[in-house]
Amino acid sequence: MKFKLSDGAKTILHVVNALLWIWLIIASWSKDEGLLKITFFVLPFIVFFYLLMGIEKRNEVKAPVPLFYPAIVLFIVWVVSFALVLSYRGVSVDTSSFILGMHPSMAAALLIFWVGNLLTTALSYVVFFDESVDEKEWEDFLNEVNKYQKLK
Amino acid sequence: MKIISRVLPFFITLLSFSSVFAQDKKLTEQMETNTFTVVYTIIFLLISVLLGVWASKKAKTAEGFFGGTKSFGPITIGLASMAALMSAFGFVGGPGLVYKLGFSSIWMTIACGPGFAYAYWVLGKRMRAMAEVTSVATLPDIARVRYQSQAIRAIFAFGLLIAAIAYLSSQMKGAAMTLAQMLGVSEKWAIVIFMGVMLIFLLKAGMAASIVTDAFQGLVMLIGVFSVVIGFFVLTKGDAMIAIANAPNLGPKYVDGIGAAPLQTIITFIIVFFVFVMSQSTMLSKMYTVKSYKGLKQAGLLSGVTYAMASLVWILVGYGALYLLSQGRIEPLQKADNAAFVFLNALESPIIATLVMASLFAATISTASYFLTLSSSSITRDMLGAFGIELSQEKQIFWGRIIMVLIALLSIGFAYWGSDMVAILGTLGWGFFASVNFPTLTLGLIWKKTSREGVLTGIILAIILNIVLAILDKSGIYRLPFPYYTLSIVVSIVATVFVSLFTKGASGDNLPEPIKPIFKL
Repeated sequence: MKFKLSDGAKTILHVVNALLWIWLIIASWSKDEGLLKITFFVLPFIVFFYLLMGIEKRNEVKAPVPLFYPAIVLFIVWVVSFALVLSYRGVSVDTSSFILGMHPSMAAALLIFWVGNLLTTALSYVVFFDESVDEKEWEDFLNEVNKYQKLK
Repeated sequence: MKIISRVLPFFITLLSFSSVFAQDKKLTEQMETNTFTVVYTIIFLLISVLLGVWASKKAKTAEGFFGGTKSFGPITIGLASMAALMSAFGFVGGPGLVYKLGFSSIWMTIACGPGFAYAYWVLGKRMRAMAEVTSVATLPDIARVRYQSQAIRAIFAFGLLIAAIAYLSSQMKGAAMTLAQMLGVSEKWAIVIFMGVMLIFLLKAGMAASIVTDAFQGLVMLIGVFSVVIGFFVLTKGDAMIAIANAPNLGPKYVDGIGAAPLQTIITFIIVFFVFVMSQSTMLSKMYTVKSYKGLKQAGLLSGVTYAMASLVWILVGYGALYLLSQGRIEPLQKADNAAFVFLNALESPIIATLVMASLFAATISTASYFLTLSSSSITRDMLGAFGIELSQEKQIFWGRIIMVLIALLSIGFAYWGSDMVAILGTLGWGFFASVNFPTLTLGLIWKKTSREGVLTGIILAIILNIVLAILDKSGIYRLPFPYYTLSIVVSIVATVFVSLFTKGASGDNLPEPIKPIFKL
């Protein structure tokens, strides 16, 4: 399955990301807890859109790899980890509720955000490297580039 | 595997019994020199020199000397990327921040590890592809070719030069103090040895030497990480978080996933240290040094996973110091950066202390060697070239070596006799590179519409804002309620995107023909 991502759509995504960056600055400047909590859930969009533009080839994105895994899984990992980190933030929990010796909020950060992210980005890159660039695509690229003199 | 299974138990036993050698002493913030430390340090320095000299066969051309272009396998690149990106801050400053703020600063390092593979997904193949399109030795080479602009090349190189010298100067004192403790020599001699060793291998083989020695130093760092993990669990028996949470002087704020820093700072840490791994010069330049594009696969994995391992020092050493505080074994520290040293002293193992100190020194020398070469190439190749003075390959290398020595001396001068301005500019680092490199290289290679005018606007604003905001922030005249570099990054991205929408220089159909196939990859 393939989804189209035209040059026009990519331009729109860059503009959207620029606006999200502006949102981040406004929220940070305001120091408003409510806005800042929303901003945590703006971050996954920024990350997802840049990844989309990295994984597309010839204006198409393939599914399920790399669109669902790693891109959408990465988005979910970010959303879930932030939701848990923020909901347990500063909460005094009984130490018997600690997960692997960690406060639940810290456990969400380390086990879901950190390990989950590594399993999403790093593992997918190794297992599905050909979805990033395969031999035939690279050969085609070299053939095309070799038609020209090296740029000075 | 057989060798590992034999060596590992021996190593663990050695670390566990090393406390036998320790003298009875109070937990202080100073390390003591011993024979093991001196021998280990000398061997470390000798191997670095030998590897650097060996790398000279890869530095016969300007591309090899300044870039190490298309020269290395994925394991070397993976380890070197980690070592160059994990600076001494991860070993001293990071744990210090954990001691001060709890979990807050840890977001920087846990975002950064996965950010490596993310960077390879987004940009890896296209950066590597640039080495097929042009003779790449430096990042400004890529900028010049992508935008067909000597102005961008010059401004970009100037920006990198300022940040590299500022960074080198700020690291100089720390490196000298660490080495002085390890060898038991004066700080003056330590700086002579540190610079001497670094210059021997850099003058011989430039960036090629920097990459090979970085990979070795990465290994040394991982040995240090391993000993910290053992030390932490021996010291705390796995109960650190519970002890900290229950301590009346600390409490849950220190063990939750946010810590004491404000939310806006945490947001910056997460996004800036994840997305902008792909905009760090140390990282970007490694992407075109892999021999074959296939090497990107292992390099992407190894760099991220080893960085994540190195992050354990940041986390465990910081929480180790908080654990000591919760147990009343140390007085509250006057200087948070000393958290690492009280933790090491608490382990009462000179061997662990040595391995970790060597890691700290390795982290410093690996990052410093990269920036010294970067500074030299920025002047000799990029800035002179941008003004129409294109030197021959031999002359570039000859003058590159001379400039390296001069910059090394300049950095020492700045570090010891510089004004407050040097200390202020020394904070230019991650954020500076993100705000300059992201529009120029990342946007430029993932978005055809990124135009020459857009990038010029973006990087000029980035350089000015970074310097002005650093001065305002560090002098206390005006402080933003979030890390100042976030503003310069966002302004440079927004300016580049919006100016690119309305301009056409070297973008879209105006891209140079050999660049167009990159956007099909």
